Amino acid sequence: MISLEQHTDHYFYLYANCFVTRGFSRSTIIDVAHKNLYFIDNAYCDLISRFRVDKIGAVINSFEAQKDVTYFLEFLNFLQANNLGTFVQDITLFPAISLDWDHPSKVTNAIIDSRNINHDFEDILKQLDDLGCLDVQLRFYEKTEISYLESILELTAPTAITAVQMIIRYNALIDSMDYHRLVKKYPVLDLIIVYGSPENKFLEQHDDVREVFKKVLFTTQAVDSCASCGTINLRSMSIPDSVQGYAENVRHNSCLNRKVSVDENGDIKNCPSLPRSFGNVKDTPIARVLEDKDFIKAWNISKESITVCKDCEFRNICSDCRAYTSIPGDILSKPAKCTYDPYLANFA
Amino acid sequence: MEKSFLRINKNERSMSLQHIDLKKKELVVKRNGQTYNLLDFNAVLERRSGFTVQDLVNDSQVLEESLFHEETSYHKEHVLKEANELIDFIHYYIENTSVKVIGKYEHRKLNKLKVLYLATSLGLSVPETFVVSTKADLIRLTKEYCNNIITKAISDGVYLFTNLHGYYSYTERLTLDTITSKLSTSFFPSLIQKEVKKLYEVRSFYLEGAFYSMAIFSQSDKATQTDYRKQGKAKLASRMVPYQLPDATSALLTKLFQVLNLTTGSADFMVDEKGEHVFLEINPVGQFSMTSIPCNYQIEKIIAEKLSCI
Ligand code: SF4
Ligand code: SF4
Repeated sequence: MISLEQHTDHYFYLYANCFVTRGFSRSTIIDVAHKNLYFIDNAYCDLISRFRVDKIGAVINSFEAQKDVTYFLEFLNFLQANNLGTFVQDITLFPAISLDWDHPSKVTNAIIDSRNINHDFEDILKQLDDLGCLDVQLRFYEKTEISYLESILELTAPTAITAVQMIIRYNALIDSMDYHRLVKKYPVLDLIIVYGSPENKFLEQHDDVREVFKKVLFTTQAVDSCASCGTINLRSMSIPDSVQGYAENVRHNSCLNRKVSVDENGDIKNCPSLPRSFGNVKDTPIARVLEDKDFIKAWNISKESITVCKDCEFRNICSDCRAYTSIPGDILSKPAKCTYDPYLANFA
Repeated sequence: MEKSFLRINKNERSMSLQHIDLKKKELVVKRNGQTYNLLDFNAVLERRSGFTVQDLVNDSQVLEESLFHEETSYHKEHVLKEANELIDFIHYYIENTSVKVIGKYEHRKLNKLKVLYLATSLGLSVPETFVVSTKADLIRLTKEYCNNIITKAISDGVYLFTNLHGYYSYTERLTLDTITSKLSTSFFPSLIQKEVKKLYEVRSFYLEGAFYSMAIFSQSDKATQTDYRKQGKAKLASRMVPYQLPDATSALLTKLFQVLNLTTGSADFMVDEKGEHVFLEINPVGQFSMTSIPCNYQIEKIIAEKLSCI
């Protein structure tokens, strides 16, 4: 237990990479450095904002009831025990972290959907690479041969693309070891999700040292079209690996920022599920689409501008979805496939 | 703000020097079949060395062969001396023909002791520092400072990976036990400092008059108490957060960078329980990403803007 006498002349410094988000019914503290999430009462959220101005002694003196002092002490203990902050003499030496976000790449991530058509992957991947794209998700809505997947992966070799995810349909004729060989042969292949599988399982992959990577995921879930995307629940949320990732979520749209998609017809869109096409890859360069203000607009829809979400304590780590909204056609309404109610603080 | 650039990593192997022509102002390298005249570039950022001996020759076999049969190392040493002289000139030539230069090649190495001396004379507080070479002296210091002494490399620590082992050295605490049992009566002169009881560490990246500082809290874990790089299997990663150097410290540190003629570099401090900022060292080729990323300073963007704004 902390002895308060020792610290009355100190400030309590909540580490700058522990971010507080106030929701309607409760608040969260997201510890980005350790990837932890804590729920706190909104009353404590107010208290935390005083930490930057008042010394511990001044905070205590402002309480009238002795029990408030006890609660406060318990709260400080909770913060310290979870390594979320520490006592310091001069709080001005510890500024907040800037949440400005930028990236040298014009496009950082892309989705390419395929059904019954052969996109010109060579051209698309080349264009994406020229724009600096790092992550590419390929979704196939019909059975694909390993050799076809391999031929696409070969095309990434001359590019600087760092991660490819493939979402493919279960094919009983393909031995699961073949996927294993594929991820081993192509380190750029980050994850294969095999949907429509008879069972849910992860295929473990051991690298030469000690780590176990789970790179092949079999799921019984059916993924018939782009309409399978957009589900939001506790599992779809994730605490970003870095302050940059967190800042991007706060300032930009957590799904669509710096994203380009090519849908199953070759139409260039923000996301395959959104209705508006900005041209077909066959005749429109992706770089030209990026000059369209309407295309860029979706990148900047932050949670603060979305109804309901703006009152939600998960908003800064939520994956969001702008294609399936609770009020169809209203791009600023809450995601339709989210079951969370921030006013009641529960998942339906 | 789109500019073309070339990044040269040392030991890249895919790059080689073609020729230098002082009259025509050419310094031509070839990489992946492309040739570049490095004097065509008008801004340069230097971090460590872009060239090694291997990059200079088209056929590295030359280096492996021995000409002087009785004195096999003579040939290698000779080639190395020639190469280093040439590498020196390559950097100098590029820097001199560029409009904008960040980080100079000649500044890639600093003498730690010299910097400590300059820091004290400017008024920065530094740890008590000694170089000793006898066991008797070391035991005396250990007793005087109640076991709270550390040793570290005078220049760079060991960092070597062979096929079988990885060798690396960090700042280590010395105990009377190790000294009495492991050391001989006299040894190679070694740098000894009184250990600073730190609350947190500070790393300040300096770039043309501005500091981008970071506080590192690692105390909560025993494994990282002497050197935070040694994180091993520590459960919680060190806390790395933005920091603002006190005005007085920042003024003195600016002066130190100026005296050393450095426009960039990274300074390390320990902050003790009294809030005193104890200066440790300056790393002239400081990695800015290790400060920039946790604190979201976007130093890489600031540097890119400085380089392209000419
Ligand atoms: S209400 Fe909005 S912010 Fe909250 S979990 Fe649902 S979609 Fe995310
Ligand atoms: S906007 Fe929705 S449907 Fe589109 S990619 Fe994002 S989550 Fe999926």
